[in-house]
Amino acid sequence: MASKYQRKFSLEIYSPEQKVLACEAVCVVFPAADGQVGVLANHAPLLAMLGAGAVSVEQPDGRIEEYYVARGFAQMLENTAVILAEKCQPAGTLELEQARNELQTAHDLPVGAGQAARQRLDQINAAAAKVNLAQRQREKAVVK
Amino acid sequence: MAKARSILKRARAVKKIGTITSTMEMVATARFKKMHKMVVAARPYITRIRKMVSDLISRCGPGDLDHPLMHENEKLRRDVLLVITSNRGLCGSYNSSLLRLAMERYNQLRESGYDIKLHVAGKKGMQYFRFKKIRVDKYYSDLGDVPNYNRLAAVADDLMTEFLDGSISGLEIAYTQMIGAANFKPAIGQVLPLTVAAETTKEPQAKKAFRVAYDMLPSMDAILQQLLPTTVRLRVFECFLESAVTEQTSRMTAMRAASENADELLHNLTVKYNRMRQSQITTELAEILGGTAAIE
Repeated sequence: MASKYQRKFSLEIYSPEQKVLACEAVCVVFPAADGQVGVLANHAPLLAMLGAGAVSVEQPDGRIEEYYVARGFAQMLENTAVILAEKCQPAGTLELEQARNELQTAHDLPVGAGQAARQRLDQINAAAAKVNLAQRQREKAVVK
Repeated sequence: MAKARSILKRARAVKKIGTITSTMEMVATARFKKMHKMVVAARPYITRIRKMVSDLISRCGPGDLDHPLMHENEKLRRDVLLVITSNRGLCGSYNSSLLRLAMERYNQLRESGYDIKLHVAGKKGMQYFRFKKIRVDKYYSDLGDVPNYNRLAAVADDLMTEFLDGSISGLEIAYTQMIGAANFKPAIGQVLPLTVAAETTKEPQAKKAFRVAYDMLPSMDAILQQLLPTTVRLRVFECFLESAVTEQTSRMTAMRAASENADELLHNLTVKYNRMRQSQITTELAEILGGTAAIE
């Protein structure tokens, strides 16, 4: 099934350790720091700070791929979207149990103050987003 | 014949060592390829982040940019010197030349009145400082041989927290810098306080005026506030990555030299042994002939 969107643009996703994805896409939705942002072809130049959550990539043939990202930046310029994420993983490879453990570890961190408190909160948010996505993936697998 | 046998014994030992060193060379080559692949894979991320930083700085002007990571603490004189060495030996002068440079920097900083907190990664560095009876404040024993971004980001985050708390006044890293694919040299990199440079490309004035106006989410300031700690994390990761690659390069070169040396030694020993055997046969023949002549 082809996508309802006609125009394509190129998308690249990088993590510090590897190039995660380079393909053509028709629609990309990513978690910005203050909410979800969707990008279509010919979008105005954009520079956004990433939050934690799922990047959803719709390809010209209608296939949708999801990736978990946390901490990073997204840039859209001249019909090329680049996502630079410090943590990036295909959603299909997420382990629910492991994500839950990470969330527990983040909750168990000492509350602290200032910078430490902010870091703890970031870790909790990132782990919670991972658990959500992993849960969704598992539900999808069950439905299939 | 006793001497000839000892030469034979030595030749056998040299041959075994040669086999070991050539195997180690092969292992180092395989590891080098893996590490090099990692460097190549990390490069686009690092260059893009750097470009983003310099682009944003040139937009807001270097004077307007202000982040606590860039503040120099003039009252406090306590720097962290992070020394990145290897866990294993047999890699030529890799560790010794790096530790020599680190020691020089350590003494230089102490002479200028700094209280140095020494952080060490790698067993070789730890052994060296223990031998020199210099106190090591932190030893990273769990970083492994393959740099992992998330683990190193946590190390960088801890150091940044210390810097922001005012417990330390700076961070310098002694690592081995990669120059091209096969060359390297030990270097000291200053990481904190952070210094950033605006884009230095010679952009024509007219083009500058038509620079793309980005939509910034949530704002340019907020993006910079997150971008600068990322550059610190990346800098630490890059230093570890380069050290890991150059360690394998150095081991490869050292083991190749050792294998070549073993081959040469083996050849010389074989020639020596053959000559000795030949001369012994000649002597024995001469004795037999001498004996026969005496009987006749």
